[in-house]
Amino acid sequence: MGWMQADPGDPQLRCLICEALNTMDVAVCCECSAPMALVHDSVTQGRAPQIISVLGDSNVGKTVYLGFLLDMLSQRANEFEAIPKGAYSVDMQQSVVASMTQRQFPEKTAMEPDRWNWAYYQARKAGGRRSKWYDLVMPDLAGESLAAEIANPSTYRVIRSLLTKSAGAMLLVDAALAANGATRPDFFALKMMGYINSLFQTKRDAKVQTPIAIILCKADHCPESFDDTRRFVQGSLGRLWNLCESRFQTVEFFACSAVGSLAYATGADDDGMDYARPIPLHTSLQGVMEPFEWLISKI
Amino acid sequence: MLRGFWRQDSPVGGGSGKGRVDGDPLRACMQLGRYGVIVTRGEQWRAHQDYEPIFQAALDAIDQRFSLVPEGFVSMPTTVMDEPGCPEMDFETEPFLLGRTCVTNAEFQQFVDAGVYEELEAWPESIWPHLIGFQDQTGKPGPRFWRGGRHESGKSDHPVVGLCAYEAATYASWAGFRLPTEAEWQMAASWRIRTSAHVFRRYPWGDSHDPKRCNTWASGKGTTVPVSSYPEGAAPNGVVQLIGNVWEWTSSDLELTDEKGRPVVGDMLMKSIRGGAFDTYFSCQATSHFRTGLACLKRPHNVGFRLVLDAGRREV
Repeated sequence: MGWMQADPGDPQLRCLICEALNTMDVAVCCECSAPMALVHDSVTQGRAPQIISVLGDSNVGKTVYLGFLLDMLSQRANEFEAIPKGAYSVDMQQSVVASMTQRQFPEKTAMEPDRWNWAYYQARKAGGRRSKWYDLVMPDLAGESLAAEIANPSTYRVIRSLLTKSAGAMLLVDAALAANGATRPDFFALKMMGYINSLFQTKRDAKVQTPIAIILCKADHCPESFDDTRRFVQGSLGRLWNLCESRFQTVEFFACSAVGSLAYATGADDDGMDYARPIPLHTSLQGVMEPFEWLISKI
Repeated sequence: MLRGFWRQDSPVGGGSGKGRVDGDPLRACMQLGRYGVIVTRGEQWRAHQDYEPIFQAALDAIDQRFSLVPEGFVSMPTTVMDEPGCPEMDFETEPFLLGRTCVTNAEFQQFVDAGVYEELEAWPESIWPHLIGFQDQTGKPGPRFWRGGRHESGKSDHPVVGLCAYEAATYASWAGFRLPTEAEWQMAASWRIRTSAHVFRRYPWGDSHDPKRCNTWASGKGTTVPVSSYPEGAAPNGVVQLIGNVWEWTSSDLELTDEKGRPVVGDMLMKSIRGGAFDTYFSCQATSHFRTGLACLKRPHNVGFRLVLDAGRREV
């Protein structure tokens, strides 16, 4: 328990994310607002979990992706077995499934760290009793908070702590926007990877070893990203591609989609203003498990 | 006697080699599986020396491949929130013949090999500018996931996918059939026939989802399966895979509103698709009454189609 208990005789616990000392009775860390339930569950397990950070711009689909990933894991997709630790781990998955079955996107993740969703799962690939269990913590961060931290490092210290401790990361990029020629996805990804590079780079020319899965979301809008994902990244996200080539040792690209068909409810809202609410007409999951499987094989 | 009229490859499970097509139009129709053309437009060949046996062979082929859906009625939710008690539209449907299976790669191969993609007049004029985009992975005319104008080997009896609503409708018309309307599709799947006891089936086989009767995400296949598999999920008339494997294009435009009556629209015209597919995650989205749609020019990996012949037009 040395990694989290300050002193064997001291009833304080170190936060799993920022290592600040907290009394046993607090619900969230006094420094970074991460739920202390993560620490309590880790103590129960007797080992520190590995953190997989899920990153991406606002509205890219982090919550939907993570919610479906966790739900598929708990339904033993691709022969994985996953067990949630604590009800808080199931909240996001439940919220995503409930929303999408009602043809609504889940609510945006709040910017305040104490309102982020945290999932703590034990997962393993089926393969008999000897197959290895992974203790995984996967937080769902707000895109706006990530953007603020990248723009002004230490605005959200929890993000820096989280990334520093991450065994791997998933960076979600809006493939639909990129395919339409928008440069925002490329620039956001460039900034995010630059930020990660600055956190992990040990020498000037050294490459970052931490595995990072770059996931092209909403790929159903640009099927060519499924056909040849690397080629799509080279063509539509050239800046990101170049940075990955120069500075990251373990990067792979994936295409993914969760929404089978998107429509809009159009008209006027209650105040008479123009209104267009996106409606996920049905769900068709493609490429959700692959980045996770790759990442697990690398950490 | 009829052997010479039959196609070289059977529609279900047959090969897909480019066979020589007879120069005689009537025989060619038979070879290419255009049975609907022979049955519904056969009058023009009445003077043909082999008209009677060919006509009978086409009828036999339709008997083998189609089932009667009796007249009935359907209630379709009109809002995206399709919970019990939501607003509904009622439709009556006439009897019609519905393909027992979706159109296969092998069947669609005949359409590609016959060069219909290059025949402008076979297509609605409004989509001529888009025809050049109806290519496979190698730039040849054909469904999106084919290569070199050929479907993937070993998948001749899988449903053809990677085609838009217009490709599906044009194939149907070329073969002498049509696509089902959304109401007809729902009638076939829910089997709400006109009897004194009104029965509505949530699934063609009953009211409970069963991953052993259909290929959805819960079945764990992760891809398409041959069109005649899952016979235990058949409707009472033997039509299989109305639920799962692939969504099915219908001829109807998708017309839905949100809970406040505001129209739900896509980036382009949306056509109704029905039934769910191998990657449909929620069982509530693969039912006889779940309504959804897709942009009419999309060519996804999980949407196919089946054929309809109007019962009244069959010259028996």
